[in-house]
Amino acid sequence: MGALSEYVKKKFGVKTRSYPITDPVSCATTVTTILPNNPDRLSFTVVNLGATAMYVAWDRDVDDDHGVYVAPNGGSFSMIADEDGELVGYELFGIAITSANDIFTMVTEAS
Amino acid sequence: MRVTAPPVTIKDIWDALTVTYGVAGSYGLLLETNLDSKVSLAKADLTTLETRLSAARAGYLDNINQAGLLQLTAARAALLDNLDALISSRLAAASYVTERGTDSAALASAWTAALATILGNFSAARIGYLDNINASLKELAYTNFASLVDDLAGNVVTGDCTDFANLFDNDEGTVIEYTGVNQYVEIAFPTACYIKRFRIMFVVNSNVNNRYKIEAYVDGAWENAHTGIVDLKENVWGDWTDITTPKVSNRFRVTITTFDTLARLNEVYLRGVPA
Repeated sequence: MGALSEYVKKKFGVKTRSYPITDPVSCATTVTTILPNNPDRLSFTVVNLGATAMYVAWDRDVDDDHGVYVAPNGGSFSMIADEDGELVGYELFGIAITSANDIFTMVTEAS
Repeated sequence: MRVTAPPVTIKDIWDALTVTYGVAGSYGLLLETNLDSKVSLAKADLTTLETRLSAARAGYLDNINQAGLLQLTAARAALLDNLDALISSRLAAASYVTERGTDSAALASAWTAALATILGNFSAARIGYLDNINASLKELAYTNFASLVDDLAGNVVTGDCTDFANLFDNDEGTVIEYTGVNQYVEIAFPTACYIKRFRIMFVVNSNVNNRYKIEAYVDGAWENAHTGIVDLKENVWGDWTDITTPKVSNRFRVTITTFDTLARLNEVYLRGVPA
């Protein structure tokens, strides 16, 4: 077990694994489920690769007046359990404002 | 929870500031109300300029760089005003195709033909003959010549032979003597004269082999008027002889061109008219 694994295990108390989300890879102009509910998820990062802004929230009311703004062209939104608690495992929804955006999502969960 | 945004560029800032043109205080509004209006006004003037400055007129600028234009002074430019007045009083352009008299009436066809005939006959050679008329008139005038030149006494006489003044003293009792070739006796009149004829009174004890010439001073040089005068070696007057090439001058001289032993002359008469 490498030093990083040791550290992470100590930090979270469990072994973890990290992987990219392959579905979805884009956020539409309608409510899009970016991450499903997952009680084993310990952290994630969502990157907006599109040219327009998008918003994320933990309910289907996500919109440009409801949610967290994620800037275009590389803006990112990330959460981690020891800072954000169980909110990390909640279902995450997103919506692009002008046009669909490509997104890149990485998650870390207990293995 | 962390939210990051990509680095903001200057363009991002500019776009943000200019996105709402209608917002008071925005750069967009500033551009729209100030620069755009100024550009619009300038563009209107530019359009007017483009209309007036056609390609042809722009091409005329190449002609400005002409040295001749520098001669167009204000005074000369003012003369153009007169040109218009003069032109206005002239006939239509078509009228200038036909020859006209001073009253602007067209010349009769007979005149036109006659003028053409005259011009055809008046060749350059014939025009040159006019130069001879003046000389010919002078030649005619010599017959009416008064005694001015016959009596040469009183005019200025110079020379380089012995007793040179005796040649033009109107005294048949006095003689001159040349002592070498090219010696001369010169007479200067108060004004230029056209000399047509001469005669010489010789001396019995001269030499028949001697030869003389008469010269005239023309345009700064001595020119031969008559050459090959034979010494008659007699106390007689030679015949009046026409000078071969009559000259107009105020200075004439008698020069010995062939000298043999002894050369004496008694008197010289010249005939002509004041030029």
